Amino acid sequence: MSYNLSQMEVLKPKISRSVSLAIILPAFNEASVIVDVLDSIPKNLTIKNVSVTISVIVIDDGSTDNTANIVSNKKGVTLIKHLLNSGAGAATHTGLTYAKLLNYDFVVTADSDGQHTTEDIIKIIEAIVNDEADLVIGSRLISTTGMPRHRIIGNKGLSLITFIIFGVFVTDSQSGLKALNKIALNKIEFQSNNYAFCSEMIWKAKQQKLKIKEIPIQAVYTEYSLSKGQSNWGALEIIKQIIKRRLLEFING
Amino acid sequence: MDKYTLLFVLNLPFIIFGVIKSITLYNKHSIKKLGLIFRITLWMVILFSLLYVRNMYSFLFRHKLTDSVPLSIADVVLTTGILYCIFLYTRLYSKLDATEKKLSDLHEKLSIKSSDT
Repeated sequence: MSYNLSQMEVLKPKISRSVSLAIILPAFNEASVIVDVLDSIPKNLTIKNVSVTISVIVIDDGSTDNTANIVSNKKGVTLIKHLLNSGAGAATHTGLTYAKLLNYDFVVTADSDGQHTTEDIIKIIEAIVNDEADLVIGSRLISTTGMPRHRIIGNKGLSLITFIIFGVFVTDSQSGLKALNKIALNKIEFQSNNYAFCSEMIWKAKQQKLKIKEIPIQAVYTEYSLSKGQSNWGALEIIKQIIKRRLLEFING
Repeated sequence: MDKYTLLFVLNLPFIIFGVIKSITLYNKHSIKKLGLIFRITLWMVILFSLLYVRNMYSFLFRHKLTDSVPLSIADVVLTTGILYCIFLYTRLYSKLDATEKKLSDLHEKLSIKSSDT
């Protein structure tokens, strides 16, 4: 049996265009969870006739455990190993630079401690591919169900400080789940090596007049992810870095 | 030489150098307009403070807002030292930041290349 061209068009889903998307996972000593996180990421998606080819890039930030070996044995995952432990900001920056070099259409950054659900990752991909904004932030603080109280206070505090110092308000400035389109990828340039990069990214997006959108996500808090994330004491280091960046902006312009 | 004049003369080279350096950096595109405005404003505030330090002291003393003694040589040395520290601090802070950035970029490039992707 043979099909003519018009019959084949009916049989296959209509794909109007194909885009490439990179998911960047900065990882430091995540050997116990990284396989589950990688398995939870879809490889391909079709969003409103747009075929999205997803590549996963793991930035091993000088882990001392087996993270790099596990990732390197995983098929279809790109591993970049930091020679020195440099912080979450530096690892994310390396991932973004790599994505820029490979000319990806979209980039998603996510935590590699299993904090994000597959549904939320798909949700954020849909938002960026549908061109809803240049920078999409997955906010854990629009609905705080399941989030420990000290985390709510700490994160809200940092969002407030981000607003006071940088003049841009988002509900969750410290969210690790973000999506950028090519414009944002090329325009946002941050320098913070630690978790302050989250606030700095939002600030730079505002400076570049990019459209920012927040979508609600659910944060999965396990004993493991709670032990890994930033503590409220760590927030002081973030505040120090945010102030430093603002001050240097004044000095250097 | 009058102590107030001495204070001004000792500090003037820092101000002139600071202003010239700021303009040079701006022309070389090393700093943006905001950075230039911030630096020039800082040095102008220092310049006018030094120019009118005697008037300010007299004003404060007349209105009984201070009962400190007039400027001494120790004050001149101290003020010059503080100004020199501000001068060094702004230069070192931005130089250190630029070096940190270069080091991060180098580490990033090396990591990408050595990962053989």
